[in-house]
Amino acid sequence: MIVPMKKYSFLIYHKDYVEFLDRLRDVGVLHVIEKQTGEIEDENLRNNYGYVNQLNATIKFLKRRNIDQEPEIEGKDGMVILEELQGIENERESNLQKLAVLKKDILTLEPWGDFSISDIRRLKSHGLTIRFWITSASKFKEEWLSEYNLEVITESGGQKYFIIIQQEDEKIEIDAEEVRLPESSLSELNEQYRDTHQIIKKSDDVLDLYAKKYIPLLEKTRDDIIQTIDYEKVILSTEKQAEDKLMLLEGWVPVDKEKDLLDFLDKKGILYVQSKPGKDDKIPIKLKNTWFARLFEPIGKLYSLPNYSEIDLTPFFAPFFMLFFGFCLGDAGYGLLFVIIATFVKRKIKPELKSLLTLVQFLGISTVIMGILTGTLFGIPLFETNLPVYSDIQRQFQKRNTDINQQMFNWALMLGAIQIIYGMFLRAFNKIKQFGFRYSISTFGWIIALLSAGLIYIAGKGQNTDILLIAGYIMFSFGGVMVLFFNSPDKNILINFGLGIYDVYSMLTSLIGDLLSYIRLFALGVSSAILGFVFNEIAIGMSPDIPVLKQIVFLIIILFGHGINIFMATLGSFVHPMRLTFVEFYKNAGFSGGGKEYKPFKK
Amino acid sequence: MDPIILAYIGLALMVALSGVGSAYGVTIAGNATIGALKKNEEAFGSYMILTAMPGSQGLYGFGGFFILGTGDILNLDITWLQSGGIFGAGLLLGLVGLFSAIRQGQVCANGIAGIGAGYDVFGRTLILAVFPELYAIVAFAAAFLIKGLIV
Repeated sequence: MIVPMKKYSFLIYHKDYVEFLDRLRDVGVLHVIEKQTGEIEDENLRNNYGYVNQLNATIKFLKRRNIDQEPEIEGKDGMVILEELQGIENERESNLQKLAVLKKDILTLEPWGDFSISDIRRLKSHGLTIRFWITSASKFKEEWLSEYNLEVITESGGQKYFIIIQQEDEKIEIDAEEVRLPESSLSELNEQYRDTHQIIKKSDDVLDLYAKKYIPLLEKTRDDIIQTIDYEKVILSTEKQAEDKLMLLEGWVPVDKEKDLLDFLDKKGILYVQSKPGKDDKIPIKLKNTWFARLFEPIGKLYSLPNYSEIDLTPFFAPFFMLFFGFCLGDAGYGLLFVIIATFVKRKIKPELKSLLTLVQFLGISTVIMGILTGTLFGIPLFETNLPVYSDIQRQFQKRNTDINQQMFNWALMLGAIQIIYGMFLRAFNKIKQFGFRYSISTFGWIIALLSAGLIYIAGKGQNTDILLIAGYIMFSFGGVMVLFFNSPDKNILINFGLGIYDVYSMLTSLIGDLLSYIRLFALGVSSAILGFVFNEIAIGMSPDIPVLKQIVFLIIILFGHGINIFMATLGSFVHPMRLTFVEFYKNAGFSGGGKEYKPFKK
Repeated sequence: MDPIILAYIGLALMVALSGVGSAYGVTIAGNATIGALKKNEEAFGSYMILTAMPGSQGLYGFGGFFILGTGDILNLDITWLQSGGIFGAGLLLGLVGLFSAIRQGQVCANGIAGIGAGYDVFGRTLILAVFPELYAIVAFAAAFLIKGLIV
């Protein structure tokens, strides 16, 4: 259920405001109504968001260095450390780039060997220019040797590297590529490379030192800034009144936490106004459910929190979700694995994740039960074995010319019909809660009409069921009248009839689609069982007759195959029941959603 | 023409088309991964899982082959009913596997690109990628049920 909220408005003298906010944060129950404008415009806030991002990135970077920690928090300023680290990182980046350029230059210069640039310059000052050329060995012409002062330096990779000593204005026309060489000699470049490499290594050591000592400090700095951001957001949401002498702050408090707030307000003598939520207010949502339904709250949150005026559907979809998951995965062996692993991991995990593992245990139990009912254990089709109960039931099936798969198909549709009708009941009660009984009449009419249609169908198939048949027809007409004439209580009867016809058309088409959607439960359940069976067959068929090798190959195929199957089938068994909940069930239950989560201003 | 030819054509379509679809699907996702690695190297685990997702249709095709292509009926005495059933099953699983794998690969590729760009969309992409897969699953179930009708 959704916890009821009360609206509080406070009027504080501006000089007392900071202390008031500090105390309010200690109490930690007020969800502040945020003013939409001003948040992005405030430079301070933007800067703080920026710092948090930078700190997060730096913490991640340092953690990746995987150094043992020796934390040192005393006497250091986290922001100073951040700045130092950013400086080191920038320098390291530019050094890495320098290294890349040096490498490129070294590769260019290497074929030419180590010669002195000053020699080249001296020759040039005497009118002799040394020019450097590359061409492919096939394009090289021997006559160039006699035409020019050409000397081949080296040949590699099919390319000839040669120089021509050009005298004064001598013209050189050859089909080759001239290269511009770097200004430094090869040995100079190599030395620079080594030096830069050393510098980078030194900065790596410095970074390791920072990683060793300062990660907790950076994390604390980040958390402090996040606190400051919350604080600043509250300040921005405060309205200034009476020439900025009075501060007006508004917020929501859940009724179960009201006492804490009232104690604080009375003790400090603070002026406040308390009011009930109005129709247009966007009230934050705090859910309160039994321990079982609470396990499923994270699933509901994946889609949307309910809005304040409607019913929280978590406790209603929870058992269905569990059942559908088990139906889709449908293998007792896989379910058992989930239960065992979850129980084992639960003991070693931190408290926040315990409820997630409890959920896994329940889903596992449901899978075991459905696996037993549908006769699958690690892909083994139990109905085709000689096991006591299963072989008896299989004989019964064969007598009636059916099998477990046909039954599963029917069960899937039946579960779908049950959830849809259940959803419609919830919609009817929701309407009563929000608008009053008159508005729920047409929904009840639909429920009656559908149930009586089902009754007519069953009665039509049986014998001596005339009374049931008549009862069915009467109920159906009754329901029909409710649908056609009571769908819009505040309009006249002719409009009701017209809207009723339209309602019949749209409802019928959507109901058929919704019901058929539940076939996916059958498809998923059957396919995971078959795939398990197929992998068993492959493992048996492909293991050779050699003694030890046979077992090893068998084991590998089984582990690999069932591993893939568990992963894919679990994913599908999670996603499709979720889709059935959020689309078919929520639609029929009239869920609108869009609620905002309750986030109190606290430390 | 002997009916057995039709049966084997069906089996060929089943394995080939779904395998081709998976090959295309994982390639599309794999290409996106290489691009995303340039921007965000650390999320390779997520990329790998998403790239592997379209691979299941090929598995379904092979699984279908195992269900329909093994057993006693695949011999020269096969009836037209049986070979027609196998052909139908092969065609339906092959076609659905082909297109659903390619499209699933495109969904996964978009998710991979999103993660590479720094958005936290892994979980939701996984959820969305399961939707095209459903039709391959339905086709696989249909192929299985056809087997039940023809033996």
